[in-house]
Amino acid sequence: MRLLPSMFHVKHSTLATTSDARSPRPMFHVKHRGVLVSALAVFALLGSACATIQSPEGWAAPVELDGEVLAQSNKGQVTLVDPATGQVAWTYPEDDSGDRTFYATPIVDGSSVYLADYSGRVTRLNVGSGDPTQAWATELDAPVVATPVLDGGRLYVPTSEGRIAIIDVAEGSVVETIQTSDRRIWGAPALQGSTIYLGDLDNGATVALSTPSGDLVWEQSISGPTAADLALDGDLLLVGAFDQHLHALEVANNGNERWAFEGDGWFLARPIVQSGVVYAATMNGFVYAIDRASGSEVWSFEAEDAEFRAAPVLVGGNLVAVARDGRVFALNLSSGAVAWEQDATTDGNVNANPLVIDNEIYLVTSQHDLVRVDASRGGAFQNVPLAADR
Amino acid sequence: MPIGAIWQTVLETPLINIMVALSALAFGSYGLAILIFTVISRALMFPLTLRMLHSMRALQDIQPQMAEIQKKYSDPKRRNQEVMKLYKEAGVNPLGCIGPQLIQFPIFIALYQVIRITLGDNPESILNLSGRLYDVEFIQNAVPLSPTFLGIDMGASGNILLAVLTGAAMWLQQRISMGRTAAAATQNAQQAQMNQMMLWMMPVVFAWIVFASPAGVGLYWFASTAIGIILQWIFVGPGDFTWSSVVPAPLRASLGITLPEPGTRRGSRPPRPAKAQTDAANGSGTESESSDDESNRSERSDGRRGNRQGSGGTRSSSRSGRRRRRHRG
Repeated sequence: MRLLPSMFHVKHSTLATTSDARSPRPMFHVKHRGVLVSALAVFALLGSACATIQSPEGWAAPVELDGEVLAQSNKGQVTLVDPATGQVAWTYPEDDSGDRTFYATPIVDGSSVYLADYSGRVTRLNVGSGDPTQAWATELDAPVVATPVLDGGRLYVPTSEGRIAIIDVAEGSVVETIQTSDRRIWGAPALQGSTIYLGDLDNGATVALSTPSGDLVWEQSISGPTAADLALDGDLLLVGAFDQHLHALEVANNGNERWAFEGDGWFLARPIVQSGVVYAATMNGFVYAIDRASGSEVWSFEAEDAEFRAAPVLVGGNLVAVARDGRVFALNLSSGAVAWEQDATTDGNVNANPLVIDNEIYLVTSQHDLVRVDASRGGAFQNVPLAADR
Repeated sequence: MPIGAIWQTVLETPLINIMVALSALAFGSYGLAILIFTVISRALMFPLTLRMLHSMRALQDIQPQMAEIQKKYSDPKRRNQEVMKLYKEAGVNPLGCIGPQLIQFPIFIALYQVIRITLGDNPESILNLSGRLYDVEFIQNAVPLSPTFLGIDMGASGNILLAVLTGAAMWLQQRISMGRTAAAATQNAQQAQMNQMMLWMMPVVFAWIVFASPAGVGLYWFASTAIGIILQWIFVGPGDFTWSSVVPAPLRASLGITLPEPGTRRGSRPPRPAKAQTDAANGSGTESESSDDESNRSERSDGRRGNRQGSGGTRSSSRSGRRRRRHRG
């Protein structure tokens, strides 16, 4: 943009010499001066408009709470809705919370719900008696994207600044903070016994930490960073990575890599394991069935122009994968053939993991719409309003 | 095809991939990638930039004739005709400097968007990036990008340091440009006031835009401006700009620093008395067809445009000669 001032100075300092007091009709320089000043103003406005940073929308997955669905209904708001009737039980908080959007999926534990938002606030709600009441709220001063892990009386909350805050769920106080590094942790950690497993977005390392001390058990450098939720199946930790590989690490063997499956595209969706087969989807539109023992491909399915960020789920004997554009694919578990396909396209993208209740799949879009897909009826779908005024 | 799709396909998406690839080549440093991109883009635009600089220099060189025309013709219409004729004679296109801008402007806007797409400050941006990358393993594996460069988050806005640096660089460039042309031009008070306003307004506005933009945009802007200053200094010269002029007047006085005389130009030869200018000055000083014809005849008689000076004179003279031949035919 160095040239704009040049444009100005050239025109003004040279052409403007015709506009002295003797010149009632200035040459085109004066006309251009107006044009240029206008252009500057437009440019400034354009810059101002462009400078408006797009706010985050969140991809917290809906969860089940006493047979009803709790989902992010607006930025920083969650709503409990009866999926059958569409009746809203409550919304928390009642006022719009602006930038307190949710990427972390709410954790339901009995009559308590734990929320961790992008601004770093962790809240415990008591929902046992109708409307929710806030038990406590703790500010962590770091964005939270990864879904925390609840272990007895402690909540492990990874942050985007590489810290893991251990919160006493009774008091809401931060008991301890484990500083791994400055790595962003976006994928939900996995907890097994007294060990928590984490992947990071920046360094491409997977670590195992003992709880509650935070001591490093092992660290395994894999070739790519991860933003996927980790999946733990027995002694195998599955890490989907940006290096277009799904890595299988042996948790009992210092994180030694048993196999790495090369796919087509980033593995950002959490994989699932069923009957010795790992199912994983990529951002390049591929769904893979991989032999858990050997890491070899059983079958693959490609959805044209699809991106899978939401985790595949098992519904009605099929594997259901939901693309970001709202297309839902039900695939035969053994062959990968399409059992049914539905285009549940709505406004926004489907980035959140789906919720399955019986044969129904609940999707939340980036525009905070709740969509119910009936797997028993070939994927028939309908929108469920999340607020009375929507 | 909608214009938005054309924009994305032709400019934005290729630029996204270029930046990601450069980032991978620059050891994962996005800031370094921006600097490399700035140098490459300026190198690609160098022919146009050079033409613009030559045009600026030519404009500077004809300032004495411009001043004479101001004095000689009172009728604005006639004055415009004479000015345009002078431009034609000197081979100057006053709109020629817009060319590089027209190219650079969409690049800048695209880069702005590219930085926001590649280094978006929210998790969704990384998802949206997926669909924009070419299916090349080298590029795909370069993500996620490291946004930090010299301790600055290239994707975050509100960086005061870059805003100040960019504003200062733009002021310097503006000052050099104004100093050069002001030395040669006869400016009235209104013009001088306007130039003064532009000298300060432009850097302030751009500094504000940089402040409100992702830091990566500011880095590009600053680097591009710095390269522009260097090119301008090398190919056109600093005009009457001296570093001592940056020092505030009271401080200058207390330190005993003196500024060069107004009109003193550095980095280029002093203007010679121009033939056409001399002819015009020797005329009656009144607006008449005869004085104009006399001026034209004097140019034709010696076969060259005698009012050119400086390094660009030879080429422009030959251009001028060609034009005259066409005119005769």
